Amino acid sequence: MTCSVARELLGAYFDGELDASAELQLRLHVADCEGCAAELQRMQMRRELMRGGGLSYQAPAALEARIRKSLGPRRTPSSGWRPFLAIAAAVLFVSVVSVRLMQMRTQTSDTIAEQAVSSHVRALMTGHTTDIISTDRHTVKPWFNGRVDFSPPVVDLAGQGFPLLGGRLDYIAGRSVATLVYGRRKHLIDVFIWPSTHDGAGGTVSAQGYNVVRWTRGGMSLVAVSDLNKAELDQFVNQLRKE
Amino acid sequence: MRATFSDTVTVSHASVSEPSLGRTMPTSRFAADFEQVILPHLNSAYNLARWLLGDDGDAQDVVHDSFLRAHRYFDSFDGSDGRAWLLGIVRNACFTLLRGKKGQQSTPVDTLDVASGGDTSPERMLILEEDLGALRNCIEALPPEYREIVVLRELEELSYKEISSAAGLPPGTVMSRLNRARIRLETCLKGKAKGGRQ
Repeated sequence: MTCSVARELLGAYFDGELDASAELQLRLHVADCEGCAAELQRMQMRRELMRGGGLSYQAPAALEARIRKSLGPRRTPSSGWRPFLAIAAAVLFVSVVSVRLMQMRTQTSDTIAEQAVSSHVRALMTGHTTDIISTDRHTVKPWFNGRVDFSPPVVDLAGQGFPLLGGRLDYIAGRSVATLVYGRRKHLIDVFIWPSTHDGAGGTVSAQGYNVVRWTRGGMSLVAVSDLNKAELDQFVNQLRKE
Repeated sequence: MRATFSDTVTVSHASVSEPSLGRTMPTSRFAADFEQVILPHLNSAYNLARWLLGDDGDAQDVVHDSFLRAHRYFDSFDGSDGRAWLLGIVRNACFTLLRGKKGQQSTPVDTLDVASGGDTSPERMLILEEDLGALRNCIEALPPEYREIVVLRELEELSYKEISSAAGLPPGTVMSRLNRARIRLETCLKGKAKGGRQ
């Protein structure tokens, strides 16, 4: 992405209004572009000043009184109904909040799965599936040194029918992640790995025709994505977890 | 003065009245709903009007009339976003008043020339230390269409979608207009910083 294109989108990026793919491109650009990074920082400081409260006008109390007067007498529900209405409102509030929370949880995990599938598909479309091609885990593991700030567990499952093909870097969940690439017949399996203290949110989902398995282990979040059928992908993940 | 605007002013999104739940309610429910969905946004409405009109009396009149209008057209509110709906009515009223006052002076802002804002020199960064007063002056100096979008985004914290609904703009225009407004704001602040040091 060129700097002039990035500048056009920087405001929307700052406002969190870009779609996932444009946001990723911007993120990568900003990581490399001092000018854009400085601009973002300036926007942030400007916003803090603007939202500090010193610029907003408060409606005078008399205005509300005047509006209420013009709207006529308040028609409130008869007092006999009030306790029931209050209870109903409370019940509704709790349900709405619970549903929202559940949606938020699902959305967060869905986003990870969707990002993983997007990264997988992007790698396939561009034909750029590996940054380092090697079936030797002793070559792949050190390659990540200095490229990510953690050391991903690298195992070869050639003996179990899932040979290691190589590794690459990706960007998921707002950070750089290590990607290990495995093969199964003509299928590719991407395993995205990053450090995370957050466990839970495991399990298998399917997105856009790809199967996605998430789990955590030893302080790492792992996500496997492939067009391989669910049974074989589960088998692969089980083998990986055994090592 | 008492702000007036004709009844032909379009109520933002008044036409999107889907046969949604709860719109065919008894009068008491209507009153209770208006109370809960629209009245809490009085401060947002006043803030927008005050920034757009630059005058407390005008702002109070316009907000008062907008609430009466919102009350009258509450049946056509689609139940989704009361604040964006109300702010749509308020901004339409403000622009009607502004046009009446200044005799159709409004320029299509998206064709206005804007200076490039690509500069991030240390000098520019100094602006960060500018006080609120300079920022306030520069927002006031923006053309109303730019001022509106800055107030909605930065002070009222509306999303692009909400701005698009309130101001009746396509989402793409929200983004480009906001960009231009921000560049203008920076240019103004930069000028003030320079002037202040000389």
